[in-house]
Amino acid sequence: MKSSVLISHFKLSLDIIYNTRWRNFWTILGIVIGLSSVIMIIAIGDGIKQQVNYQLNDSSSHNKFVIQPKSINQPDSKSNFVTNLENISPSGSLNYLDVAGLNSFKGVSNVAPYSILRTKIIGTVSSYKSGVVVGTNQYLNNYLSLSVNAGSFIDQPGNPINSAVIGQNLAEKLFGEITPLGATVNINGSPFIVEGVLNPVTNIPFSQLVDFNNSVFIDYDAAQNISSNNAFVYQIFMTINTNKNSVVKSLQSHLDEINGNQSNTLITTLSGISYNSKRTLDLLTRLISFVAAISLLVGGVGIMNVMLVSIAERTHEIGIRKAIGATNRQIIFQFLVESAILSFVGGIIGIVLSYLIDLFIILSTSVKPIITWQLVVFASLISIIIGLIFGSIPAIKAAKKLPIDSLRSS
Amino acid sequence: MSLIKLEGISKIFGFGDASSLALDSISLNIDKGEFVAVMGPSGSGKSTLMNIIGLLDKPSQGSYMLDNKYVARLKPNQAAKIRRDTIGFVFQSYNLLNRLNIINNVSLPLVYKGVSSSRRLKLATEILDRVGISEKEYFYPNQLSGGQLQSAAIARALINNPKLIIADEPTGNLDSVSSMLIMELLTEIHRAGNTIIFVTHNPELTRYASRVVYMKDGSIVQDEVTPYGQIAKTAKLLLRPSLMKSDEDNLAGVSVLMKTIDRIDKTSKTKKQKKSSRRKK
Repeated sequence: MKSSVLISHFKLSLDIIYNTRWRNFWTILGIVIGLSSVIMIIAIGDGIKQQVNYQLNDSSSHNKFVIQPKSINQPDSKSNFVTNLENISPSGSLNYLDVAGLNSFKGVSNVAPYSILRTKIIGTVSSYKSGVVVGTNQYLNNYLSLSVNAGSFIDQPGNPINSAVIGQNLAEKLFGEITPLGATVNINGSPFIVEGVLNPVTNIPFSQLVDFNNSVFIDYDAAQNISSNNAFVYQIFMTINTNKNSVVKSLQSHLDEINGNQSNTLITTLSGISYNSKRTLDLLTRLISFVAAISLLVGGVGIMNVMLVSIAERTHEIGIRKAIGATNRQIIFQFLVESAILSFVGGIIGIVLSYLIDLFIILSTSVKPIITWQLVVFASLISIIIGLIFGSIPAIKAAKKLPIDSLRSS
Repeated sequence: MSLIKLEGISKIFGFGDASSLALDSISLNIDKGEFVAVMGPSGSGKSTLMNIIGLLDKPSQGSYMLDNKYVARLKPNQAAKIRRDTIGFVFQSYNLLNRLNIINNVSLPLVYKGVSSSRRLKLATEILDRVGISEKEYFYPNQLSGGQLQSAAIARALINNPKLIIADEPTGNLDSVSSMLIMELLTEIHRAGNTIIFVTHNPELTRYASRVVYMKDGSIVQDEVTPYGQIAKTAKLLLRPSLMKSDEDNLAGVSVLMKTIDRIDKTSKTKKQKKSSRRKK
């Protein structure tokens, strides 16, 4: 087809779309809503996945392992969506006995227990009845990406055993300043000295990790001391450098023995737990994307309806065009250009709208949706394809009529 | 050599009990350069015949040879190309697109041929000049009179330089003065070498034709060759004594009469101008 034909079709289509702009507005709205919801859902899913990756430091490393209560982590390919959802929340905890002796276990190094204690925290400005205290050690930094804004992390050489590192939000709330180094924080009746303040941490939505911005980090032993061994151990991070399989095996049997031969612990790689949460997120994203795709489909049907009406209105015009020599293909092309323009405009507005929603979500929640250029290209392609598919049905219908039949209708 | 050769063309509308025979095995030869008038009462099948000759419709039976090609059973796209390149169709109701201005309407067949925009405008300007409405190029159809619209429609039919022009009651919606102008225009085109077939109810217009075909109930009942400038013999029988008027007729609608006089004045002027310009040439 020659370019002059294309240009004249394009001009005519713009003219027609402008003349029926009110009807077209509602059609475009359908595409806009459908497309922006698809983009937003994929973007939110991507954003959360990236945040998970970010918080689990170097999760691709195969040397890093984690001990978890068994019910949390069951990488069972047969498990369906519902049981996967149940697995998001922890339903058990490790025994403090599990931690004991791990440090000296052969082949295991850099053991970092991750325990949480909810107890009273008193600062100079305010206090919390049930604040979050994370009992851990200096190795936690190897597994989670935490960085210290001022001072140093716990258990550094020269630090007293009762040193504490606090999240930035909590520092501000407890002491009224961002860097209250050297101040005393009272945790469950025992004084701790603030040795460091964390940088703000991006939190993972739906994650079993607590909000580090509002937590106090203290030494694991100190945490067990002040709570008479009541700090729940959720995870134990560790590094196994050599003979991974045999070390993991012997460690597993060691843990089973401690727990009276009940195998209620599970050792996985660090990438395993991020894999699991990613898989859940993938499932969620897919499910919601499916719902959003349905709304996109409805938008497409809307375009088809408008094209049907538009063609019914212009049957006479089609007759005239055919009478003076337009081929069926040229007629179909004319209407395809029109519906492609409609859906393309809808796509553009949808993309702009999803950027606006993105901004709103970033400003008001901790989720950071990621709209990649691939996603944008994909979305625009989808919108044009929808326009072409749903536009072609009425266009073909219109073009197939005998010219005289089209001419007779007025 | 015959341009159009119809043999046993029939057209049936509807199905079963409700079917009706619009054309009853018509055979007709039209040579190149003929100026044929088709006459007949309403429902005699004139328009159906025109639509089949113009490839807007397909015959139910029979063979149709246009310019040495069998065209009765063509695929839609091939038919479209012949409509575009060989046939110019003029309708009673003009059938111009109201969305487009006159020059774009006239150049529309060239769009489908793939002619460039500047060349389209050039050709359309030339042809509009030929039909005498070049000053209305950028007007929209709703701003023009019936005669001007029909002139534009003829210009559109001419733009691809077709061998055959089919006019289905081209003067049906026009007053007598405009009718005459349009017929003059068609005569001029005929003189330039085109074959023209037109349908009319008005026996007066057989003056312009070289041959008159009469139809009734889907058949051709008479076919006579008539000298140019004379009303055909059979058509004369149909001619009503329209010149006889009562006094009341003369009094009715004086304002309309005034307008008509006005228009006649103008058109006679333009005719004189045309004639004088022709002489100059």
